Amino acid sequence: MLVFIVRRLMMLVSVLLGVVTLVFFLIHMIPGDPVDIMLGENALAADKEAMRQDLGLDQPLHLQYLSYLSGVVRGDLGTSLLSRQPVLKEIWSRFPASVELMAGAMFVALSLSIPLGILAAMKPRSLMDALAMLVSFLGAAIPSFWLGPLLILLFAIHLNWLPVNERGGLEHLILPAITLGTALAAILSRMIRSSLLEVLGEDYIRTARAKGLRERTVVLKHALRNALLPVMTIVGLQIGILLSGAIITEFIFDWPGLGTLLLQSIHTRNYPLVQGCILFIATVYVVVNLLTDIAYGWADPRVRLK
Amino acid sequence: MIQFFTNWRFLIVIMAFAVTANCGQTSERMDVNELRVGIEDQPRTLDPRYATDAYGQRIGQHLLFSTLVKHGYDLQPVPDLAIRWENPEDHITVVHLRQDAYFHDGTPVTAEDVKFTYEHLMDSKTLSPFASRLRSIIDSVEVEDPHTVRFIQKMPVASFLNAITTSILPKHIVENNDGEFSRTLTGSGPFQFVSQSATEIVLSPNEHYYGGKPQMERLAFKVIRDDNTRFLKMRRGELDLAINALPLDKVDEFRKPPLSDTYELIEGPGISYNYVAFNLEDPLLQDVRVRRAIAHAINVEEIIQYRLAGQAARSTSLLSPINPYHDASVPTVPFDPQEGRRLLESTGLLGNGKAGESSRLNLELKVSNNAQAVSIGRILQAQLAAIGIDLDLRSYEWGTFYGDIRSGNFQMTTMRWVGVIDPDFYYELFHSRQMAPHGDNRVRYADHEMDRLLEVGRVTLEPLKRKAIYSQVQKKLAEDLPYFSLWHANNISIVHKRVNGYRQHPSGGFQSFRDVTLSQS
Repeated sequence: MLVFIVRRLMMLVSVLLGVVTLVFFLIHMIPGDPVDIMLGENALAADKEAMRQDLGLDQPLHLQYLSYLSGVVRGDLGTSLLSRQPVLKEIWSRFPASVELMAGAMFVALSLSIPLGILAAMKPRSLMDALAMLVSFLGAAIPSFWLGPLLILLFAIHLNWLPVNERGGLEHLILPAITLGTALAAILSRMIRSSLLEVLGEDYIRTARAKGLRERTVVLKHALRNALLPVMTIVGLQIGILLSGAIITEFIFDWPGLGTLLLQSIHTRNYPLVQGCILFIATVYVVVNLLTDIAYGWADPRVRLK
Repeated sequence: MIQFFTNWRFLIVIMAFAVTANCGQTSERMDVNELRVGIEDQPRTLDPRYATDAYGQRIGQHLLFSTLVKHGYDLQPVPDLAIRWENPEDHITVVHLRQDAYFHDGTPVTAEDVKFTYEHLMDSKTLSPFASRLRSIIDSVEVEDPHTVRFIQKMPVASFLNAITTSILPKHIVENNDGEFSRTLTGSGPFQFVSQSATEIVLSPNEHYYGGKPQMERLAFKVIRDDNTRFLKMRRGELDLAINALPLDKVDEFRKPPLSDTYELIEGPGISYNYVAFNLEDPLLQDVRVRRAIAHAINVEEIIQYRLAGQAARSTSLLSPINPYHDASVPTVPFDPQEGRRLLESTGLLGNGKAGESSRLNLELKVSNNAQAVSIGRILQAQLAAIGIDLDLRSYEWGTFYGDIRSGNFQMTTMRWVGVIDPDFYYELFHSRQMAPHGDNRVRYADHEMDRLLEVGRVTLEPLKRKAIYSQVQKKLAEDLPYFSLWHANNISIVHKRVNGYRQHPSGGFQSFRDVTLSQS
């Protein structure tokens, strides 16, 4: 197990090196000058040049790359061009909001998809199955830029139950979590349904039934635990996506997460911040996947044996 | 099966409970003494030494800091920290400061602070984007006595104080601890800085303010990036004020009940100038007949009426009708597609100059990805098609778009200038020494007569003579058409009825917030 983890962590290093290099050169290839964007239309050329020198943007690209890389190795992601704050500090200040939104969305997704998936799998091709799958189909088909404003209209304006936007108490989390969670719920419920259907046909389920166990115990204890294995992989992958890719939901609800930070830093050509964000997201992604694999081994002894 | 249903129901009950448990607290959390202003984007920085974007400058110059003079509601200079000023010689301005102005920490504002501010900004180590411009007009600043400053200018500059509306910095803080200053933003304006997050900027009243402490407990700017969300938040009564921050199609909702019961709509002329720019180095567009033909084809009135809901005034020059230097007699190119087509045919450029090609002309219009810019681009596309111009509409994200415009990689574009007050700005836009990418002459206009007028205009102090010069400038530009003037957008403020004392400034700024009071709604 330890060897496995160490090997995966070493792979992490090469993945991150690739990410750093790729992102560095790609972001510098995009047209647009951070100093132009930062100083606005009325600034004079001499002042722009002075700022460019101060930020080190007048250096040849390969030197900028080497100095960035040596910083990254020492754990220094540089300073944001705009706020002059350390990049890592800016990222950490947004991270809790992203985790909160991710957790909320995951909660919504799981609490919708598990019952839906089970209901559908219990009586395949029944009315219940069709209904459950219709719900999940809708969840996947409705885009969040439409669902978000619609939820605000219903719950904040007409019913006056929830706030419109901003991060705050639990009540602020509900609408963004639903907006972000429904699409995921759709994928997961289909996943659970097919996985559960497969497991329910296994011999050991017939054995469990033959023992005279109640249907509830058979499904929840014997079948579901086995059926959830592939679902775990998807959940692990989705955590990475939810942490970074909730841009539309963050935008609609003014949620101060990593997605909007990344988007804004691309708009302003804030190179160190873009690089820092992507590096951070890539790290989270790889680490979460590693944890998923470890959890996989824990949940399914057969994986460990292999 | 039944058992599953019970589980399922249980879950729904829990979720419903979680939802309803919080309802009581969220509805109508109206803090009586807080003014909540909706803005579209986070200012890049509030530090007045570096702030160049609109919100950064407005919050800095109008609220946190004081300046020597301000732009009044008629765009003329009015006293702020300066009580009066005189010119003993053409290139010297002596400014007398008021004696009852204090910084947020209680330290009095003196001539030393003023001298320090300009020297600090002009110092190349400060890296302020205002350095070059200040250095080009200020030679030195001298303290005559604690409340009198003498500016020695490099040349006579008309409305000198108007040209240097710079936030005055506290010498005692900036000199000793630069980091502390950027954290506290200590100024002498009516409000002081409390906090800034990704979604909110909070200010509180300055009790030392010379004009009296503002009558509210907090002033909060809510950063709401999505147009719909901003509108819905306003609709729910979670915002008190939005200045030019709602899309025009949403503004109409505030004219009728129920929103007109809670909000007042204030409309007034603005100074934000929209135009079509032509790249004069382009082989097709350097022919003034082509530019004129395009101008004839554009039905500006129609765009204003149908696309802008009438919320704009047709403009004939960069200067808005409110501007004292505006010349109402400047002619515009009337909407006349037939004349446009005739002109276009007379150029012999149809089929892009290739003999025997089609009877049409291909041009490219480059715009940013701003929704309004794109939709107006589409209208122009349709209008120009009528005279035989096929306009290829290209929309790019701002950084890419702006880079292209600066480097001259465009044929036509639509853009706007915000906050133009002094006519000397013409110098930067159309003088042949100001060519982009170094200067702002992005259309690459070069004309000896224009250069001469702009050079004389900036050193002519006598207002009537100066006005005559800029009348000539406006007329000449309307003839030469490097820009085709479209409109000046109106300012639209939506104000909650509990807000009293708000007055809309032509620049759409925050000048009147210090006089705002909030009543119980």
